[in-house]
Amino acid sequence: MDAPLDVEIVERVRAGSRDAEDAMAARFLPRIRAFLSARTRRPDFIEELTQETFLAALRALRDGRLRRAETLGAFIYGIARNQLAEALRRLARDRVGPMPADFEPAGPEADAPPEWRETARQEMKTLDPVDRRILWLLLVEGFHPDEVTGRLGLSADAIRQRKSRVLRRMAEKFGVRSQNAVPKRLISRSRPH
Amino acid sequence: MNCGQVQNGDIGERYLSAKLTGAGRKEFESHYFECDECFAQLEAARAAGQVLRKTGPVALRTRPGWVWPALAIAAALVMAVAVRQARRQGPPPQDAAWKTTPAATSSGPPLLLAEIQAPPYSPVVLRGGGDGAAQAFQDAMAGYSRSDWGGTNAALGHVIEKFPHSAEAWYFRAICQLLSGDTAGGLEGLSRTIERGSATPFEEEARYYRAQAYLLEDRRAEARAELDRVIAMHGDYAAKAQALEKRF
Repeated sequence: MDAPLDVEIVERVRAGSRDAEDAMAARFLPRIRAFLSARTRRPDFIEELTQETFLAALRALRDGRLRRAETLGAFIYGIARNQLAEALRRLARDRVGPMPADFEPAGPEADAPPEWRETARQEMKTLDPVDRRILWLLLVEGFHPDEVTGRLGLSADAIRQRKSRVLRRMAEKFGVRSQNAVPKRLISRSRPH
Repeated sequence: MNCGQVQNGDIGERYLSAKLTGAGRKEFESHYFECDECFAQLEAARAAGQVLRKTGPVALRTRPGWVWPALAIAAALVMAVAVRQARRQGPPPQDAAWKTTPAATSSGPPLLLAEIQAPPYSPVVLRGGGDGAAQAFQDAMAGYSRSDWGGTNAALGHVIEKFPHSAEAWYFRAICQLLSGDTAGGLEGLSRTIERGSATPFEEEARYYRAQAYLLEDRRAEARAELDRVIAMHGDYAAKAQALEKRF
């Protein structure tokens, strides 16, 4: 959690800073997209609603409707949920038949951002074969660690630890990329070196 | 929900595979909207899963760019030396060395993964929606025509969990495993298909693909035995099996 950065984003958005809006987009657009991807497989719907949610959040901040700046994440999540509910109501009103089947959870079919996929691709090239097998079984085949202990000759905890280590390493690389997307002026003000 | 609960409860994976629903899903979403670390790990898992679905469970060994030209030059040199030697020695004797089969002189697996062609699959129109297993199988095969072997393999795995008697799910899953580089998994699935004998419509092709899987592992005797069985079945794959047998 980076409450100081959120607080600064809120204050500066209210003051009309474009940099702060960019920082907010870099931080929350991927989260909004991830949330919507868990609800539908329609890329066009996800993209449209992501933008609508973000603009609604931006308008709400400019209008001073967020009272506690440190709860920015929860505030945007609430807006995303409301936007989705409203969009589904609109769809239901416009349709004669039942809701389309692809409004079921999209699960692993939802796309990760291309630059994150590239990082993942690089990471996979040098990954220990056992770790790769673990990721395959858990992330692709959908097994629970307890179900593959025999196959891997490792305890469930060990499997979990190895998986977490790889994902954390990748997440750190993503973190570097995400920070690069946030204007440096904001980072330097909110994070003392 | 806190970071520890996310880690220990495999929450990210459950969320990505849509197994996390209701209050659990809402709690996790609420958490990752505020937690940078958990969100980054969620996206790492999503990206890793997508890359693995494309590349398969086994890392493919790639050769550096200079290797192929170097191999070509080496092959040309060997050929030139062999021709020169042959000219010096005159006509070959009638026995032994000159009669050896290609199999005896070649090295490495006689078949490469890239040479295996996926069996065709066309979705059928299910009257009245078909039964649950048929519909689930058809949905799971959505990525097959796009050569998404990893994704289709995973989707068919879920079908098998729910409908373990789905012969087509077992067969096509084995094919996907084979094509994504998981030869051991492919062999296991094909063997299961074959074990069903005449109870499955896929026995002949499963034997043909098992022969190819053996060839990938350079198990020539087993491949030959399997191809002989396919030929003896006088079915659609007999001609292909004969052609493949002549290659090694």
